[in-house]
Amino acid sequence: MIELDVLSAADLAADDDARAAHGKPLPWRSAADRTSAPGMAALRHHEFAPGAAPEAEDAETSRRTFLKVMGASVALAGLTGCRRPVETIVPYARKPQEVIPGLPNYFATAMPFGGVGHALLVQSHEGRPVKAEGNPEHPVSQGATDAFSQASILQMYDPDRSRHIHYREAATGNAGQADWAGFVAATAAIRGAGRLVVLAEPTSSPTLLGLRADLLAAAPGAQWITMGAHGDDHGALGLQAAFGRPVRPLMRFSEADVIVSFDGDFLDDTQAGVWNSREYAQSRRADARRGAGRSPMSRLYVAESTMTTTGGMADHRLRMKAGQVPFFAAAVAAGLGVDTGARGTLPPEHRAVVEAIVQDVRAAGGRAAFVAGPSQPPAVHALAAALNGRFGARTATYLDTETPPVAPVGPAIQALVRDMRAGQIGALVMLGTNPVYTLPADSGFAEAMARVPVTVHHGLYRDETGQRATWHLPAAHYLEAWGDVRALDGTLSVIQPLIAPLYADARSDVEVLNALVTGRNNAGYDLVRRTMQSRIGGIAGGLEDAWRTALHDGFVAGTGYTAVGAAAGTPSLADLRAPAQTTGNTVELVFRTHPTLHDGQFSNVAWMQEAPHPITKTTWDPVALMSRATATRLGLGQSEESGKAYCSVARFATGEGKTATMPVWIQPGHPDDSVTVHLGYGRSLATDRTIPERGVGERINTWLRPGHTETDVYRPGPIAHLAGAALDGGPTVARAEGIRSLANFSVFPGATVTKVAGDYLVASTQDHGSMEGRAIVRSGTVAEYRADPKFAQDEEAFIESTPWEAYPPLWGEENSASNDPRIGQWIYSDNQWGMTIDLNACSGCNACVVACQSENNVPTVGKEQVSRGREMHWLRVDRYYVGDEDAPGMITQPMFCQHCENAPCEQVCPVNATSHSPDGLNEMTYNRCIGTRYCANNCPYKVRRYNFYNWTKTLPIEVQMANNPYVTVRYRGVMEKCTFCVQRIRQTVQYAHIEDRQLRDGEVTTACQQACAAGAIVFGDLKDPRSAVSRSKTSPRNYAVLGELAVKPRLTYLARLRNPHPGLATPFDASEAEA
Amino acid sequence: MPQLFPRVANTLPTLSLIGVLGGGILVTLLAWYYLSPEFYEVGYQPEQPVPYSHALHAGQLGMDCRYCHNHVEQSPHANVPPTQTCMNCHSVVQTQSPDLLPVRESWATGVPIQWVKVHHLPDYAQFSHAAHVNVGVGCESCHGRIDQMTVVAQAEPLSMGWCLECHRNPEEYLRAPEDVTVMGLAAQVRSDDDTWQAYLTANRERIAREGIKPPQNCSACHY
Repeated sequence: MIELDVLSAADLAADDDARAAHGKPLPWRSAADRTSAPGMAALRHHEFAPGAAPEAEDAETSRRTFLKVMGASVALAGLTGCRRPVETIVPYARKPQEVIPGLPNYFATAMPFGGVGHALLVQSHEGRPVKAEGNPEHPVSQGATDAFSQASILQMYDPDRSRHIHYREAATGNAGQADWAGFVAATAAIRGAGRLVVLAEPTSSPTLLGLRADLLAAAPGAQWITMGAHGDDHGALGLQAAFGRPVRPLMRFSEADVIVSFDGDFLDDTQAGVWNSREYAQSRRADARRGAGRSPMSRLYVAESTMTTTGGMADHRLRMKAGQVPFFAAAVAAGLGVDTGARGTLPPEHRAVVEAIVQDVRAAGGRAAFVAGPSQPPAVHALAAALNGRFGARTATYLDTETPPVAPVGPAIQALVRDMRAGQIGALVMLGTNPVYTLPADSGFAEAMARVPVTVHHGLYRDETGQRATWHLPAAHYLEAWGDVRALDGTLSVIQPLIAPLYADARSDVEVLNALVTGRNNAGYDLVRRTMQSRIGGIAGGLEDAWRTALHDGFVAGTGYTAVGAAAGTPSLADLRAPAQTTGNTVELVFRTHPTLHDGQFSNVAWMQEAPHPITKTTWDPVALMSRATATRLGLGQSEESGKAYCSVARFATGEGKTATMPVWIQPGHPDDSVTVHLGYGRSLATDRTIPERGVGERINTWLRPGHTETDVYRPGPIAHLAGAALDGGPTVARAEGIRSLANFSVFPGATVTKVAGDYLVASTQDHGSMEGRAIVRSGTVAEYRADPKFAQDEEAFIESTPWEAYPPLWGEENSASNDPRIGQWIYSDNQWGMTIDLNACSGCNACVVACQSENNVPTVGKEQVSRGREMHWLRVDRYYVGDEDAPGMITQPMFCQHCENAPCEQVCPVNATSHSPDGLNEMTYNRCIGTRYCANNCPYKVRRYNFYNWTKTLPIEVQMANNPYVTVRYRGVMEKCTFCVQRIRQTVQYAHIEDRQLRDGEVTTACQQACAAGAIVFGDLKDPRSAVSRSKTSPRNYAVLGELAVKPRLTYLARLRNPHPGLATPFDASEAEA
Repeated sequence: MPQLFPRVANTLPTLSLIGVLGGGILVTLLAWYYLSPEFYEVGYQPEQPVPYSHALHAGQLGMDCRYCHNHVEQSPHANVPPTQTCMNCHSVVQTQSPDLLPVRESWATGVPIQWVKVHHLPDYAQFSHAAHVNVGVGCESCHGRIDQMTVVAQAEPLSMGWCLECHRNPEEYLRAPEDVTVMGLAAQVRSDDDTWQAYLTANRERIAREGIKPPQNCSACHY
């Protein structure tokens, strides 16, 4: 037996002192962590944040409460059912041929999002879609997805989706429900009502674009305004100006030696994020690129106006106001001999970086890549294209998107509102758009809408616009309707429905538009097939063959856009003015789409509200990001207490009647005098759902414990209303959309800030699971890697000096699972599962988090519970900062069960609910668990999650339909954690066994691995020396987190590599100077 | 003052101690038996919406189990047949039978028949028919003599201990994969000692040859 020391308070304090005295700047997770603020010691040392355990909640348990509980228990004792529940089996009356009950079918389809299609392969159980995966054969997806595609499953099952057609008579205001036939009949009147205007989202659907042309031809004077919810697409506008037609960049970062981003968060991009993440990760594979006679890794320079995932991956990151970035870009261009006429000065601290970029780009020889972000004016996008034309011949391709020309939204809306007010608009059709919500408050759109005789709104939700429109038509989700769409590279996909619309009134956009154009009720299938007839009907075998192939493959090969030649000339930046020095209480305000809610399309999806923001790790609430210096100047701040963040609240004003109120978040690495706010909050949705009465048990619970936690985030109404609900004035005060200006949707140069009284609790997970500042994340430069490939290995080399076999297990040799000689005789021991995660590829984009949630039925718990540290995510992405708070480096690290071979959790479970499987999994048996939480307490990685409540029982039935039938839904009082997707392992092994063959490498994939576009996660059989994971583990960068504990984790990490310019300093330098 | 209690009262503490201990043991034993699946699960025989007789179809007519439960070799579920399967025969056989009225109704309206589930495993136990049927676990090993049941009843407890009995001693239950649907084989091989020993020997050889290792770890079934 090993004698274990008991940790005393003195030891804990000494531990902290040692950390401070170490002198080596270690990675930190928050300001409180960095300065070891009071309370952090307790937070680091404990399994959960104080308050997570129910004791604190019940501190006021009195004799009275005790009597209440006892009384209720006695009363309920007689009510407990003693009858066997009768379950029925409901087979089909006529079984569809392709359905085998119990086995899923996979259908290829595509999700239209951000104007492009994301090719998917969706898993369907007896007609119920439950999991979206990327289409492995599609040139863009290659099997990977982003978080939005994953979450779209839950969006389809969203109980707050609009269910009925609503009709509101404009003259009398009488509202009621109508039917589809009524709408189709009314389309004649709509067409004849006068001038028709359509406000539609950007789309690449050939059918929609065809109907658009039909509409414009059929109705003279009709106007089509393309309006993304995030405002103008500066990239499209800039490139259109440069190329003379709408084009889109397709960046091959894998070919790049140097990448320069002008405020472009290209790794977290709704259109190209999946493509860019893969391409970028390939450019960073130092081992693979070695020997090709090229630089081993690309070098990434990022100048940005907020901390982003791309900035976190950068070798050199400069923080600057969004208004300053064009002048930085101009300086880079000038250094490269491209004159833009920009009149701005470069701060001295940027000069060295510009010189380094110029030097690198010149050395790259056509292997440079320039990217501009949505906050930048069109001219900067055009400049990036011009630079790519000269220096990025091998990296940048510009594709002709074959769409009608784009136009600035602002002037079009101004003219439209003027005409609406003047009564010149006969009918207004809003296809998927929500202008009342997305347009600035002073655009006057909402009031002008009342002056239009007929307004038609088509959308998934009866949102702000839908509630005001004459006709509200519920949209069919893409999983419910036929459609077509083109991917990032133009590859054409048919959108194939997997389920009939959940709500009979729902129609797709093509069906609605077709009814408007033709007055006929054509099925979407026929409309899409007609389009495909013209596109692929000529292929050998005829339309039927081509159609079936397209449906099966999920795309039509060889339909990509064609590349266009180089950009014409250099854009002039002479008109741009340098941002004025902001003084007093004014700041530059930058509007960004939210990394998880996007522009509000995912506001009502619980997975996305609870997925932590990749950088701030905040959930459920809008926050305004600013630097500490700016916050101090404005008298704002943020304090942390026992892991809970209390933030000042600020009101941002950009003009008459244009204010938004939101809590302030101090963001390391944020530029001074600039504030980042996110779109997607401040929603007001109307739901057709009837919220059921509380059950007896729930009512008793409420009575017993007033103010007790809601175990159902859907109970209070639409999810979107929960975000910012605690703000004074309700959630809608946080609507950032309203304070934008029509002239520039992205940046407002001089917003005034006033402090609002009171502090606001923001539920952030950033300090949850903090691991005492040990060398959890490791990184080094390429040069260091070359000099010492094993730089990431343990300095103490505990395991190397003490062979694993010699290390005595706690319970003696005979009871150690991994040492049991009988194990070799058991099934499953043929494979030994293991995983590596390449920190060099992981940008922390959240796709894996949501994929895991979807695959494993991980519940969402709501803001209050997250703030207590009770979030249930099996997979969290830890984000560490390194260095100075003003300009830190960043590393992200996905953290979940490490499947230790000598697992500390297994040794403390009193009921053997967690044990070891012969194939090396740390198994969690829910039905054995009695909820002592000893295991979580003993887990050095803090990856176990405890069900403090039954999160699933009271969920609306629609939401429960999104559950994966292969994974047990956990009950209250049960511990859970990552299982390495054991359900996939077991099924694959079973069927390999039935087919009497060996498993193939890569046959079993975990959900996180499958979603990851960067290929950061490798999973497989460690027993097979040729498997991808075995080869990955031989990398000298491979290290085990907390390996010194000799727990032998099966999940190991490959250290991050950086490729800094030799002449420039990085935030990591200080920490490495010591090493 | 006379003694308050008679002398015999001295034995009372001993007696009550024995009573408490004995009673405790009795209660434990009673609970052990009566609260076990062997007692309250075995024999569960709910009434079905259609008086379908396995004794007639599988027994008398000798229909193969997989005619109706046709996905049992591919899927975790041994599917209950769709109405269509019934109508394959009953559109020409017994077309006027009042017992078959729900079947004809279902066929006409497309509304499925709601059969009552007899063999019920908890949601946290993941059982795959395909994994068992394909390696030679007979239908009757878990479902009993279905061919003799007019109304299906649960024959085995389906408890975890019962599962493990077979997983620990597969040689006592395995049969050739082509014999999985044969009824009465289990009784036949146990009919006399020689047959039984020969059966065990043959199975042990097969287990060694094919490397059959029924899993006994938790996550084999619980996840």
